[in-house]
Amino acid sequence: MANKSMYKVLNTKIAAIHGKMLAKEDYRTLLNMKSIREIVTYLKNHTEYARFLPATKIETIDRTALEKYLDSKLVHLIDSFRKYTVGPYREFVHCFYMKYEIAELKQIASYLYQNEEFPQQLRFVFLEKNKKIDLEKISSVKSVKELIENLIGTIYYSFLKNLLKLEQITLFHFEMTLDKAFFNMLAEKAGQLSKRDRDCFYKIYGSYFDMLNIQMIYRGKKYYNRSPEELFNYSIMEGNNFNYKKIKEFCYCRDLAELKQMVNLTPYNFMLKGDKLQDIYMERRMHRYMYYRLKRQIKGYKDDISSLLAILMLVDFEKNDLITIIESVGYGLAVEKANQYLIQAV
Amino acid sequence: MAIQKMTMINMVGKMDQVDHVARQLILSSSVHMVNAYNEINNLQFSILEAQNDVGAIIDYSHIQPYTSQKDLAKVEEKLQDLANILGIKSKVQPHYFKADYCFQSDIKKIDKLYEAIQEKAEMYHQFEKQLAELDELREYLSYIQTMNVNLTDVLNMKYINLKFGKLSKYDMDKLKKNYENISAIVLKVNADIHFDTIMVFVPVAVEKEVDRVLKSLNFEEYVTNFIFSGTPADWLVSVEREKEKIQTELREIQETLKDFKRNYEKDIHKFYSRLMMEYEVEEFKSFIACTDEFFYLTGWVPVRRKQKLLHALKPYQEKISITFREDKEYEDIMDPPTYIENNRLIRPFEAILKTYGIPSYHEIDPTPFVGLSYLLLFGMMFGDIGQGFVFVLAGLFLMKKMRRPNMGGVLTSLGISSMIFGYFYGSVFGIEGVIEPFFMRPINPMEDINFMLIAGIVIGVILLSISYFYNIFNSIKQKDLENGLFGSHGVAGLLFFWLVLYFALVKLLDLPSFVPDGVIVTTLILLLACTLFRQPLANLITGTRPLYRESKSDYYVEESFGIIESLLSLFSNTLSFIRVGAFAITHVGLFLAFLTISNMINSPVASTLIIILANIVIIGLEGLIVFIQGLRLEYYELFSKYYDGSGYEYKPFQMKISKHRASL
Repeated sequence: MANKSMYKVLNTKIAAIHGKMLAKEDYRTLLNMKSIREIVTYLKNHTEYARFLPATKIETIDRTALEKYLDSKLVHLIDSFRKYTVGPYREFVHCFYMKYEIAELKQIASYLYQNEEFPQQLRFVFLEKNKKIDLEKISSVKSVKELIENLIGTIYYSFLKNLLKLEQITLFHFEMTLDKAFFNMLAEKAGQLSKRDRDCFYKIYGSYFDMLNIQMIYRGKKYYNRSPEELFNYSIMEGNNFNYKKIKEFCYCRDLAELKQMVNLTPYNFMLKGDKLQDIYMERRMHRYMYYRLKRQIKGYKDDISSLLAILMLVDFEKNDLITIIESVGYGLAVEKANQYLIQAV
Repeated sequence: MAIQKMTMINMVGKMDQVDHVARQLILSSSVHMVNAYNEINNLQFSILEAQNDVGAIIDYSHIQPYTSQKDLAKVEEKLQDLANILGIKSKVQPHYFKADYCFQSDIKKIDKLYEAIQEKAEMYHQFEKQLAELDELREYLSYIQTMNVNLTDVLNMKYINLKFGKLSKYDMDKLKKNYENISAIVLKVNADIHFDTIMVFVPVAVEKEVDRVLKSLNFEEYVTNFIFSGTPADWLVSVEREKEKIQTELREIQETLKDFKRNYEKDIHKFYSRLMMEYEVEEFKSFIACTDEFFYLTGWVPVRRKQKLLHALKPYQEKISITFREDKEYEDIMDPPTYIENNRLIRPFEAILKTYGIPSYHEIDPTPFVGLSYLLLFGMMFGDIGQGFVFVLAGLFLMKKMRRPNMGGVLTSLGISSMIFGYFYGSVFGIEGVIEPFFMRPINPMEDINFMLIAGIVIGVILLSISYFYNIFNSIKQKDLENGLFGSHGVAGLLFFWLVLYFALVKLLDLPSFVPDGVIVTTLILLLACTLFRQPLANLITGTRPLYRESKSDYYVEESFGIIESLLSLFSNTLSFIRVGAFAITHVGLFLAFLTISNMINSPVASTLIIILANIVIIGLEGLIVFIQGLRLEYYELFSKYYDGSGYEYKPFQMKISKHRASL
């Protein structure tokens, strides 16, 4: 079982990682750069990312490739946390590989739906690690059906196999099924932790689940025209503030205006502000809300997993921000404009 | 009886020969493969010389690691199918791949065979599929077999459809929470830890919507192709009848294929054997590098197997070029694998050595020393003719019946050693005075306690001195002046050890010393100084600059602590050998305790039982303790003096049939 020394070891490690994360200063410097090459060189020379970037030929790195190098930092992070944990804690940490594996599977699926070739530099750093997955086969599939068939033997297959019976598998179904698989697994593994750690998990992730539910219901209604029953079935029950009755109310609301009214009465009223850009900003707003909560959380270094949960999300946010920065530099956005898209604003 | 000399083999050949050459090398099982592509990248593969022989001009940039193009899994699938249908259990028979052959043409033959029975094969598979379906149907029916309604009628209803399927617990819970909004009747018919099995009655008019809802719950619908009549119980009877019918048909297919089986059984064994070889060949080829036309491979071969290898490769001599590199420089860069070969008596002790680490190629093989010293220590601590004999029997049993040659061999030798010491102690199953000593008075450890303890230390001093010699020889072999001459485990260390012992003896026993104390103390200090300054001293003599490999202050801080540590360990390592005597005494003492109990009991049966119990406890418990204590002395006291164990083992590439493929 978890003992104090495990938390001590973990928290020391986390403190070190947290200390080496990018500072606001770094963000500002990066935002003012003119090309990806400059950014990569800066990351290589001044930041913790240096060890995950190749030693040579950094001038050939494009956005796709860089994203993957950033991912390898996450792989490294989860690897090391796995090493420092035991028993159900290790299994719990292991779930986070799933999160990114799913992201990569979704990426493959979205290329398949758009009938596009995979970009040259695209790598799947998480799927590569999974010994049960034959990446070579997966990267040569022609349809989502084929993709699912090639996942036989993995944990995903048991969730996805029922999709195979459908005439047409939509991207919405594919993504929702996988997301559900992840959150199910995460909740299941969290259930095996000590009471205190379980509470930590729900304290942090509960709000996130709440926001994901609102986002899913909003999008399902606005863009995908899903029935309330379906939306309810796809929702995550383990949230902080909403029980199933509340979620049902959201799902069965008459229209988006009513949904907005309901959400405005919750702590998550910032999600549906009703401004023009709310759809674009929604995810960033969710992340920013989480970011400030986690920032407060991580400093505690208590004898529980709250710092661990926080650092995993924070590093992920940093990666997202870096990609946003690269994109804004690529599109030549002004610093103030780019700033609006960042989770950690400077 | 030593570490075998290795030679590096480099080979360049035409790509069309690669399969044949690979097969020969695998069968020879003497080449420890090295990844050629990595070696070429490190520019250590002596291609340039070999290239001239072949007369080929190769552009380095075209060299790639080999990537397999053969889809052996497909061939295996077909072969497996053939074997299944014909009812053959395939075996690997080595004579099929020893001769020269071309696997590509075998693949064609397999395809032809497969085509010949394809029609039957398809029927066979169809039936097998139906059997599986019927099994699933039976499972569902078993849940509802008590319902007394006509299932066929229910399934044929016009306005309501019936669906069967499974839902996860989590999703079932969601369904319950939103049941009032679902336009269907849901009945739970079975539940296990993961899934609930449900029946859903849906009005046809709303089937589409309900389907969408079920889909979002990840509903696993079950659809059957079989329709029978009557109640579920009637259905179950029909299912059994149908299954029997299909099984008869399956047998009939196999019957009609009997002739076919008779004619081709051997071929299938042949193809199977070769297929397994082909898997090995593909794995072997992962070590080679190649261009479109040529392949390159590199590996280590023991010198004494060189001729045999060349002989095996003779048929391909024209098309390949082989070079051997044995020069010393090469060995230094490349670090060959270690191949230890010892005679049968010593070999089991390699296991003890390898548990600690594989000796490096440049070390002297310490197995004989490990073996003999371990036998000596164990025998002394656990000397008993009877109990030793039990060990011998156990060892032989392990060796012959359980196929554990190492464990068994070590145990047998230990038993023999224990019996020899048992003779000196005059003890049989703990009872003394049974045997008549014929050349010396038996030593009773309980009575000669001081003698036993001192004997332990004396043996320790001898073994430690031998360890020092080993280290000195190793250093000579590796031309390591710093550790061999001045090191704390080298000549300086050994002299210091001996001198301290001499000094201690003289002082303790008050013997007349023929060297004045002052000289001894001065020499001791000088020897310590040698150890302290060993790096600069050695570098001065060999003329190497700079004198220090690290910063001066670091070196001296580290070395001064090193000296304190080695002084302490000198003392503790020597005293540590007292345990040899102490355990010999314990051995007797433990038995004595049991003997006293048995003497106190009047019944002769009970006291015999106590004696037997005593022997079981002593053999099991004490035997294990002594076994571990002996290992401790080897690993900690002795190995730390001379054994590096930083090598890696020589593992020639050979045919290994993994278990799951051993038979189809």
